[in-house]
Amino acid sequence: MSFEELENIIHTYGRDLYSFCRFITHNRYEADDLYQDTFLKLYEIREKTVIEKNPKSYIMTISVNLYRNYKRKHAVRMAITGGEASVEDYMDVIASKDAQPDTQIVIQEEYRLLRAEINKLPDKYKLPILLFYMEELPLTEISKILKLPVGTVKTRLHRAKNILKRKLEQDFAV
Amino acid sequence: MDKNIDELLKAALTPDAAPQASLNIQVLMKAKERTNMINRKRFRAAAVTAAATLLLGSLTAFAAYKYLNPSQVASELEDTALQNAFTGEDAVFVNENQEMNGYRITLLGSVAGTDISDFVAYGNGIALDDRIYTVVAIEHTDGTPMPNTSSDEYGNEPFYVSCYVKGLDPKVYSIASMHGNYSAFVKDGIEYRLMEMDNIEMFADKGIYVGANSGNFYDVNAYIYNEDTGEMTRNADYDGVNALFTLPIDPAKADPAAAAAYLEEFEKEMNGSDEENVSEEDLAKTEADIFMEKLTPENLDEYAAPVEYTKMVCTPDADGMISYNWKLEDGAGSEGAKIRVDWIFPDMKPATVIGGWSSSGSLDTLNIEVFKLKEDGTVEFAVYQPIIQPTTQPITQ
Repeated sequence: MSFEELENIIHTYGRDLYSFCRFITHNRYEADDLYQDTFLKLYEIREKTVIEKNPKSYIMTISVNLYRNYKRKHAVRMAITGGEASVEDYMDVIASKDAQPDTQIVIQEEYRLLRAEINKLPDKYKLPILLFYMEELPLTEISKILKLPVGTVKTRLHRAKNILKRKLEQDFAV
Repeated sequence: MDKNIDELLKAALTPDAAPQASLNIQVLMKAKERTNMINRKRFRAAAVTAAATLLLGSLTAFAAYKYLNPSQVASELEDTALQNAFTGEDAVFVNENQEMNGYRITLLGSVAGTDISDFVAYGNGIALDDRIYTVVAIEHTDGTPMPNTSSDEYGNEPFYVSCYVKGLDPKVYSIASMHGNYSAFVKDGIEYRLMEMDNIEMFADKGIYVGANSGNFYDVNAYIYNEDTGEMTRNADYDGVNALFTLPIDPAKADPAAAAAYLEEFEKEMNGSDEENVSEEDLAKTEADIFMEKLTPENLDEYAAPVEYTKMVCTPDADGMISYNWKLEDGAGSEGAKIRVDWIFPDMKPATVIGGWSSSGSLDTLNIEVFKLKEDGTVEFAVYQPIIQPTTQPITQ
């Protein structure tokens, strides 16, 4: 991969990767680090790597691996600081353009709750959900990234959705 | 909470966080900086190794100053995790060489373990992360440089390098059948090969060999395999390269139970069994899978209902093809689909056929395409959805 190719990849996939990093790290500074390290790692291994086939999948593989390393390293620090940061940091408003103001509030609340619940999921459920819904990667690619059989990814997605559905129903029932 | 969970997830997780321009500039600057640093670091590492060798003056000194060590080989191949693994206590260093027919083959070392490389190998779509990595150097004894891997000459004189297990037939059990591959590069006229394959440390009590023979495959003429003792030896009459080393792996690393399980899986794979690598979770079926398994044209109306606005009557064209489209309120749909009527209804008699279906796994995202052939030759098409009862769903139980 040439320097110019790296530029193109950042331009094409930067937003997708950054959204993943922001969600998974909860914190802008850590997200910046993970984002930066992912692209630098990609650039480092460029000579040994053929990534033309599915660059996004390859980028996400690197990012998930780096994230897992970060998590191991920061486990102690996170325990001391009281665990994971609030997802409020990342609660950007997403609402359909044609929604009315009142509807928008309900939608925002739904999204906020949903993101908060996703955030509480263990990684084994959270990562498939993010890779499938946020990164829109096919199951076969997710299975490679997470080093799991496709059937397991499918099952985890299904279970994660059931958990989220139940949680949201509870939240809205209250 | 009547909103479809898939739709909600997709909307809530839309990638909406953009990196700041300054962050992207920083990444590009560091990438440029790193290119220069890598070159300097390689040079420095070689110098340090040479200096250390002069001080030690050990039996393995020839290897240390002449060859890259396995960690440096991993570094050259940009595999930081493996580079680190080769500096760990599990790494085995051999630094032994053999010469034959104008070539010198040097076994430098090996390391095995789970997740010790930055690069993941795949077999049948499954990540293979428990691996053994072995490094050998190949060179001409007269000092002629080996052809560079990017040159046209590379591969004109191929070598098959693999680990073997004492007692397992080498023509069956080798890098080619044990999910292996290798990376190579030439430095200072010496070819370095980093080969990887399934971790065979579990066979450590039997004995592990490393062989390098001429050719692209295991050559039965290069070695003599004694089926009674399981031992491999070099064939002294072989006209080519047939280096054979013993890899000194601690027998305590043997795991007979794991080895037996591995061999069982290996057999299945070789015999083409489709049960390989199928875990219990692999077999787990979604609600939709179970529902569809039990749905028949006969019980269709009992358990599913048509989405009225998707109903359409299709008239076959001159080629006997019908075209159909559907789009649901949630955006799901199919556009421009075409199919031959006699493929759906081979005997062309009025009937109901359940066609394709799609779902993310749950019943509430299940859409079923249904075709009904009418007496007049037209086909009534509609999308059906399961009738979801709040308390019981007999068809999935």
